[in-house]
Amino acid sequence: MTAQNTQWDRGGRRLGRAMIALPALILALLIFGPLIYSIVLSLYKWQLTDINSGKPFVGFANYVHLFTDPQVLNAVGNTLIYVVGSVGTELILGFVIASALFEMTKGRKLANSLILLPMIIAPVITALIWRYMLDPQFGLVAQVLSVFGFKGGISFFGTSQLALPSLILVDVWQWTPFVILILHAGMLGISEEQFEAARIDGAGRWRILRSIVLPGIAPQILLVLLFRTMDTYRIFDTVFVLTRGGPGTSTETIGLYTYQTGFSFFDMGYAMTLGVFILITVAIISSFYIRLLRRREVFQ
Amino acid sequence: MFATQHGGRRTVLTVAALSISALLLTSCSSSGGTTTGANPDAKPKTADGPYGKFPGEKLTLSRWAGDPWTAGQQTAATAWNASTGGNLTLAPVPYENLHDKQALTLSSGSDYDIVYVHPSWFGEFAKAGYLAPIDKYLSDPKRNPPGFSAASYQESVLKQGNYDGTQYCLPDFVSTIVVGYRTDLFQAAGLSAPKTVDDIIADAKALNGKDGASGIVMPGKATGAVSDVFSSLLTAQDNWWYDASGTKSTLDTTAATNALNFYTSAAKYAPTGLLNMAVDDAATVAAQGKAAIVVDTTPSLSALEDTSKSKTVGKWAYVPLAFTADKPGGELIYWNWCISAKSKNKDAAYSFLQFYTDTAQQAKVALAASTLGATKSFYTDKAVTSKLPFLPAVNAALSNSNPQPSLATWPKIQTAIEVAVQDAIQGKKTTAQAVAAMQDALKGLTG
Amino acid sequence: MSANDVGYVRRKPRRDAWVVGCYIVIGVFLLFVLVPVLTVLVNSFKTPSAIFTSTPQLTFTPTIANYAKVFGELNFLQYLVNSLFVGVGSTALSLVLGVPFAYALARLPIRGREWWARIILFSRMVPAVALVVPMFVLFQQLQLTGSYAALILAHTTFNLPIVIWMMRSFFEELPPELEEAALVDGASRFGAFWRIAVPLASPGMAATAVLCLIFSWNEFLFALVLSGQDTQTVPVGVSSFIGSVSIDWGGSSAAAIVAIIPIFILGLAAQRFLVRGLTFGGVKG
Repeated sequence: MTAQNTQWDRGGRRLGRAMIALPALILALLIFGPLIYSIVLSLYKWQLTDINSGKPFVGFANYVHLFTDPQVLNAVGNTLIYVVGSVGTELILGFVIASALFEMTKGRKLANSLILLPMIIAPVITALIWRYMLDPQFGLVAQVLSVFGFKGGISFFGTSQLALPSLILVDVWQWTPFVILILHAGMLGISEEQFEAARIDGAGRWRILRSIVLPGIAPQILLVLLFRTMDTYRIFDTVFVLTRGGPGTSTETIGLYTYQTGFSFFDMGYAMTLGVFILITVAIISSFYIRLLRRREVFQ
Repeated sequence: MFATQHGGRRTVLTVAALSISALLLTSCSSSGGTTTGANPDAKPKTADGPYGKFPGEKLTLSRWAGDPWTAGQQTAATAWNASTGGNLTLAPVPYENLHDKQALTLSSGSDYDIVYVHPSWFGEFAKAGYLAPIDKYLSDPKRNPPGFSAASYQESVLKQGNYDGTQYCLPDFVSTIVVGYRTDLFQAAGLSAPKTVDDIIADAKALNGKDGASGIVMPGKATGAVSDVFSSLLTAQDNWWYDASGTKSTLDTTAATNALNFYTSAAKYAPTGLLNMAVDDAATVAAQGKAAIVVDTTPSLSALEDTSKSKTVGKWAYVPLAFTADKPGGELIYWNWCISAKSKNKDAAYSFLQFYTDTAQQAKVALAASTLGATKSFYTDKAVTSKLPFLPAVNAALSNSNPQPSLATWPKIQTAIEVAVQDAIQGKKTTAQAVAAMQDALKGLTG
Repeated sequence: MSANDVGYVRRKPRRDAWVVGCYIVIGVFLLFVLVPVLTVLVNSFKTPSAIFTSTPQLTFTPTIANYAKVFGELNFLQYLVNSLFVGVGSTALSLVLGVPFAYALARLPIRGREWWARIILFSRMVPAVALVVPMFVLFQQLQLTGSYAALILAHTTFNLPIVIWMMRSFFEELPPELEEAALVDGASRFGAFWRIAVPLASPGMAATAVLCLIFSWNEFLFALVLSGQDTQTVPVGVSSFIGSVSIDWGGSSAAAIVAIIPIFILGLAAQRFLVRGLTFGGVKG
């Protein structure tokens, strides 16, 4: 906004400072304080139970370990597959469903409400739901398959080939609704004139989708990409309940490895190092998206 | 650095006269008047109940949530409260997070009085000074029922709660890995009870696919149970992961190869999804009539005999794991009850622990949840023992046992071992490679 | 009026193959979404042996034992109340702190605007695993562990960045002329924010609040580590059914349903705000 008057400007600056001060303090105290503490801790060898006693300072030893730890490489690889698989599927499926919703005239509100259901379910519940659904002996999928005469059952979480895709399926189930919500809202925000103009030009539906809707919701697409990437990159809770990283290490994600290092192996110093690693890598990925977001005019 | 303690291999366990089966014969004379079931009228009533009066004293007990034990312990706490005037409340948290919650709480002034401590973190808690010694309570006649003392517990189990010569904890939750098999299916196929792991594999092969059941099921998910089974298989061959110092690997390649071969052979006759089965999943498969043989921990196997969960009640018989006939073995699974060093009501806390780990209470636990007590008289209590069909198999297995590892370094090694087993089953590693991976993981013993 | 209403009227209902296809796609997706939840709902009325069966059982004798356990043995009501306190508390705190911050970022001449925005986004990226133990130590110093305040503050760490991020876009989408007019009429800067911008952005605030409530309701790690016995929230309560050797499938299903219902009702009630609020432009980044 353009400030026409220096007095306003001064008042605005003062108000701005006042409005920023307290939240900034809270953020500093609650996020950056603990974050700095955990960065400091990553320089120590610290067993969780020895919380009060000696933490030997080891400098960058944990970081050296990080870059020579084959499990980190494996975990990052699994995580990238998980991120690309989940976010990609969610985006495509979300776009299809949101476009379909957009065409609906009757029952849209009801469909919209029901579609949101998975998003409001806690991850631990989601994991329990899918552990039951995909159980090779007693799960609903196995029961339905047996009705069609397929008795063997499919081991969704019990083989290396299927475990990671099955985890992606769970993520898609839980988070596609969020993508739909945002993309659908974006479509509703596109002005009617644009549609009218396209129709007058005799544009078909595919064409409208491609040249009006898709560019119209480009900011929303990037936003969804950003938030879903950030969240899938550090996934651990559903993976922990469903596979624990197995079979073997085929579903061990970097978030799970960090969690287990800290809370199962008690090696807090190294867990903090892994946490810092997650933060830095996710920040790099995000800054790439943000640059795209910034240039969103390009899409329009 | 944490490995200086008590987690070492009990090489002389077999000769250490206190094997559980031997106790069945000797405990009556050695432990005075503490037996309960055998002859209830011969001793004062107080021997059964909680000891002492603690009006208004508040106690908080940290344990995991869920399972039959938590509900049972709530009942026990209510009884103890009514009898002593104390006020004990349970503070259960999800099982997977028990250690973190306890470690953080105890490190910071603590509002826990009683903590349920797993072997893998007992040493650390004791070393960090979070736990209160209980030697003087155990030896104080005023704090215990008549005739009750440290000698009332199985020595081999009680000493797991000892750190550097000081006793900190009272044990319970005694269990091990045993083999259950379907007597009806075995009979129909003309098979006799499996005596060795080779028998088990042969029987599993013969019965696989019969009557809609797989040959065998066991835990395959990396939750600790795979390692429990593997530990039992090693023990049955007189081998163990590490030496008495807990810092040096003693894993024998032949023994590990045999154990791994058992696992990979069995996996061929196991139902789909083996590698994602925790102890309860394996037991459920068996209980639903989908496996002829099951290898699992006793608390999970209780599902087989539970009419609300099982379609095969009464069809099971149990044997210990053995490589050569009549030479069984098993990993001693147990938990420790300890008092927080910062507790303000330690006397009351001890009273509850004594009450809870003593025979009368453990008999109730055993019937509800199929873990065993750690007192000698528990094993002579016919009212209980007659109702636990797998008890003879457990006793036989634990006559040659190694305690569950109690090293701070263990959880990480354990995960690596379980991953190696899974990789071998999936054919991603040869047996030799998987054994090598275990040897490699054991280098982590030095911390 | 709102963009949402526009959306409903702008296209005449046409029943061609394309539209029919859309309904089919939505129908299939709804099945995918709803069947797992309905399965849990059905299981919550089953005994353990009826849940674990390899052939579908369409008829069974329903039991309310699982719900009795949830509300009796486990006292789930306490978990619900705790979740409500923490959710409402952290949402309110995040809005009170975040809305002015967002406004300042969007409208006021402050120094380092882009840096602030970047810091906010960065703070959303910190993994909870790295925060939770240091935060425990901090709250221990402040003698806050186990209190509602600890959980509210902890949940504010992930809700505050969301509020700021979303509300900043809402304020940026508002036409500045209204506030400028108010300033010309003699209103203070704060008056323009409080009396003009905030009411105009209220649908966005409602949408943001709903999202915050959902995130708080489902959060597990902070809720576990920082809570005391009396302040544990719903996800921790549901986890209590996963024991060391067994999962109580009936009990956990009933607990899951109990946990879903309040937030689902909220979602239904707020549906209008959610769509309208987000449409309003709040998510344009």
